[in-house]
Amino acid sequence: MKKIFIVVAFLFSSNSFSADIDKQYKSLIEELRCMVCQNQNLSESEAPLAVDMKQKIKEMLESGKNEEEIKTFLSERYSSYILYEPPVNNQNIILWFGPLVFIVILSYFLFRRYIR
Amino acid sequence: MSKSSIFAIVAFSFMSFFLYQGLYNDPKKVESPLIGKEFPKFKLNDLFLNTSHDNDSFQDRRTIINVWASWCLECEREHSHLIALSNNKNFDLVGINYKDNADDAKGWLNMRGNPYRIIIADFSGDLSLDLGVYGVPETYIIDENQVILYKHIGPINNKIIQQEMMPLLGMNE
Repeated sequence: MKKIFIVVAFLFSSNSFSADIDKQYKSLIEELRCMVCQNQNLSESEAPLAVDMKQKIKEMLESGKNEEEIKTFLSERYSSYILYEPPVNNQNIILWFGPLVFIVILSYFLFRRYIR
Repeated sequence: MSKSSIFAIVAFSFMSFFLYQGLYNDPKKVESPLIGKEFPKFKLNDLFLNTSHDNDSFQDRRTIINVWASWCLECEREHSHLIALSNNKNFDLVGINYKDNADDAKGWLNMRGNPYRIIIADFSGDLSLDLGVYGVPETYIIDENQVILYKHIGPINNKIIQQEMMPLLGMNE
């Protein structure tokens, strides 16, 4: 009985483990750009490089790497361009906050006109 | 002129400036984050010989590293330039054969000539993934300490060789 319990527990745990990896894998390849066909993400692309990258990502997940580590690994090699949601830095800060600044300035002018 | 029309003109010029710049940006050219970093560690077989290569296979001098494949059409276009570069003994020229098979690669070189001192066979693409390769041919220059100085994506031509590569190779042409 105990043995059966252990076997069942083992099956269950390994199953949920791989399901978890599968989920992480699916969400990761949605967020990463295919460098060959730049308007597709990895999950949509069957370009040879994309296939290699997906394989690499799978291997890294299976060896216990987390999403952040994999993203760092790939952006160290392919630049943050590979991330569909790149981190805020000096180069792209205007893209992140430009529209917000624009709205603030615009509403200031509209407000002034309104109260006049 | 009213304040708001000045504002509109300024905003318009600002936008135009950014959009105009975008016209001349090639989205295929992504700057490599590996510039200034050391060449990745590797251990791979030679294409021709029954030996393997690692980072000690590089000579301690400026080296051009060219990633190519027999299935790559653009590689054909730059091949004569590589042959010409191989005649210059002031720097080394190493090939990385990317996701190819040995027979195709050897046949390709037999027909066109082999400009490389050694060829590293990266059939799995692992080293190239570490190098951030995504569009063969790609050409790199490393220095005496195997630090990556330069990366070019796509075939090289005279202009690129003279203006971009030669100064990094210590040639003042």
